Amino acid sequence: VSGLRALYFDGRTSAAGAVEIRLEAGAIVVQGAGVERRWPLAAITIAPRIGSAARTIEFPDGAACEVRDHDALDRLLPAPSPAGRLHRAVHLLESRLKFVAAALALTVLVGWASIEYGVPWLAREIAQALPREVDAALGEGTLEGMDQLFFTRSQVARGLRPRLRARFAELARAAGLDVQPRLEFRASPDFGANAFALPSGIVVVTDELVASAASEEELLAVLAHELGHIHHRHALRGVLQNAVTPFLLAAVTGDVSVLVGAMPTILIDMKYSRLFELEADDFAVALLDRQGIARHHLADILARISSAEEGDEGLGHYLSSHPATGERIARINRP
Amino acid sequence: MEPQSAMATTVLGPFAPVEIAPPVARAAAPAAPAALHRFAFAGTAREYVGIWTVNLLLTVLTVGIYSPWALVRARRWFHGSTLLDGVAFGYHARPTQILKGRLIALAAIAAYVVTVALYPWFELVGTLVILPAVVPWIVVRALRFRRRVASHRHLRFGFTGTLREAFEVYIVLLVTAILTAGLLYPHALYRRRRYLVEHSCFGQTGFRFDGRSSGFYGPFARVLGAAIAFAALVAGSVIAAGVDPWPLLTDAETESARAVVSLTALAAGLFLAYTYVSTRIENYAWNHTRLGADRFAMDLEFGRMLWLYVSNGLAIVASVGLMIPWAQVRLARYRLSRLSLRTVAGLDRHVAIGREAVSATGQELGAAFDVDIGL
Repeated sequence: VSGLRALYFDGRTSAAGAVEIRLEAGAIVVQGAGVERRWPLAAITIAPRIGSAARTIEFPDGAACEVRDHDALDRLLPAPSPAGRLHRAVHLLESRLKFVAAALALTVLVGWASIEYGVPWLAREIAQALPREVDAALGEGTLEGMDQLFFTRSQVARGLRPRLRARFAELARAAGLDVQPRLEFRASPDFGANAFALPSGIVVVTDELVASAASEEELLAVLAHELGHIHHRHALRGVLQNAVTPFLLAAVTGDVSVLVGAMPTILIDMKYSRLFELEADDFAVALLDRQGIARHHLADILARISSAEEGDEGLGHYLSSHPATGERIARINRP
Repeated sequence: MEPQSAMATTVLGPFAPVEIAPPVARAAAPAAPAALHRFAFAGTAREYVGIWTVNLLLTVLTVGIYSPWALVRARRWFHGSTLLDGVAFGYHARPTQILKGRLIALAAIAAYVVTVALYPWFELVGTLVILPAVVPWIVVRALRFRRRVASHRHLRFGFTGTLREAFEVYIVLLVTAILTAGLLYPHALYRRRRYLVEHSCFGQTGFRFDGRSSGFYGPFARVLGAAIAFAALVAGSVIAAGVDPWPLLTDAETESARAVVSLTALAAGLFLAYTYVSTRIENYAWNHTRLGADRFAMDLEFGRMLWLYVSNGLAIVASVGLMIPWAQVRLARYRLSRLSLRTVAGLDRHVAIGREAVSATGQELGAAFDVDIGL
């Protein structure tokens, strides 16, 4: 029986010798080029098979053999250890095209599932473990900053403000939030008709929104939607999701981290804010029902704002992260 | 925070250049004196696509825990497929070393982030004191680890660079380069290369570097000259054509179109310059690297490298990253096919360092930052 051809290195010099490897009564025999050695199989370490890359058989005294004929080596050896079997399984996966295709499909599936469900779930769990003060700290200074950048003094009639504030407070009480929200009025040509919920519990409505509302009920409907953002702690969850996504990607890709750069995380981000809007809508609808305010008010003002925005190429258009209004209106009106 | 940015820059290099197995040694089965020994890459893209994909899947399924195993598998394949005179390289890091190192690094970074969150002034201390002290330490650790876990002909590589010189090369020279508006940058590159080569060894045989600073300035100077000539040519032809450039420069309607055109041109120019400079410096540096008395020769062609980068980049973008393994293998094949070693007396005479001389201190941490640092 002719043995397996290999290169022999003694581990002390770089000299290479051509040898043959045989198996004889549970021992491995290395013979050739002035070498004749014998080791019990249990004493040697055989590198796992990876593609067609050369692998080494290491001997306890620091010598080693380099082998290229992987099939012959695998045939020569008896059944591998559990760890060796694992390596063989991985090699089998790697070397069959259909397994590779299946692995690829599965990777895409798992990646999609963790973005769709995993990350939002994780962010929600973390947010729940964090006290409300974290939200407040997050929103600290935000209003001041926005005042400098986007807002000017509100022109909403002085008489209207206390009444809206009172009805807002009533709504907030009914919502049963664990923070005391506050209503602020600002004018903002940049944002147009809009409302914001800051994580600290401040809700800002723009003069443009007040002007485009056909009734106080419509304004309250929008405020209920904003209370939904505060209730669900969307600001904090958004920050957490944005922090978790790249971390997950980096952890997962490791060696192939170029993917992180290629990954359109901004698209994922927009997808999440879509989910937040729908969640806030659901909250608003339930709250309005409890307060005896017809839910069509929310749908009405949404429809009006979005038709006014159509064709608008201004800042508001770019910043709009809200999902398709038609979809939201249908959802709100669904009994 | 530096480890992260160090990773980022290396990772985002031209499509994550495959780390070529560390410098090298001489090999020749039957010792043939005074011969030319060629490098080659024997792995195929088809093989690596399988390895890469399965690595990705197992890493995703284990939420990242498998990634050190994936890394070791990929490195073993790359080293085992890299041949000098028909003999392969070896990679010997254990995945648990890398995992442990990453956990330690993660803990250190988390501690730093928390400290900065609690005491914002600490960030200043971090930037001015900790970073300049830690970066050279990480560099030295990572290089030691990386050399030590690589082998050829079952002889390990090694790295003996000092912390002091790492501080000079990676901090002082970098700061000087910035302060001189980049004028000293080629010199900093030269010093870095010298540091990396001169302190590397194969067994007991040291690598030597006989390049000079001027060799690193040459490619930069030629690129600068070409850019100036190009600008003069454009300006000259605009004037010669009798076009009044003033409306072109001031017309608001064409402003955005002009911004797009000029930014694209700038990006293309920078890419051309990067490819040219890095290719030429790579050739120069290898051609001035010796292993003992034996000399390396590297002969990368600018046109080929340009084509490889462009086609690899397009393929990666078009395939949403799935062609990364193919791109890496192509690059490795070409680069290694242009590298050779001319020996005085064959490759058989290198001698190992005694095993006891290999200390294990800090290996784990070195492994944590073992993410393609130079060479």
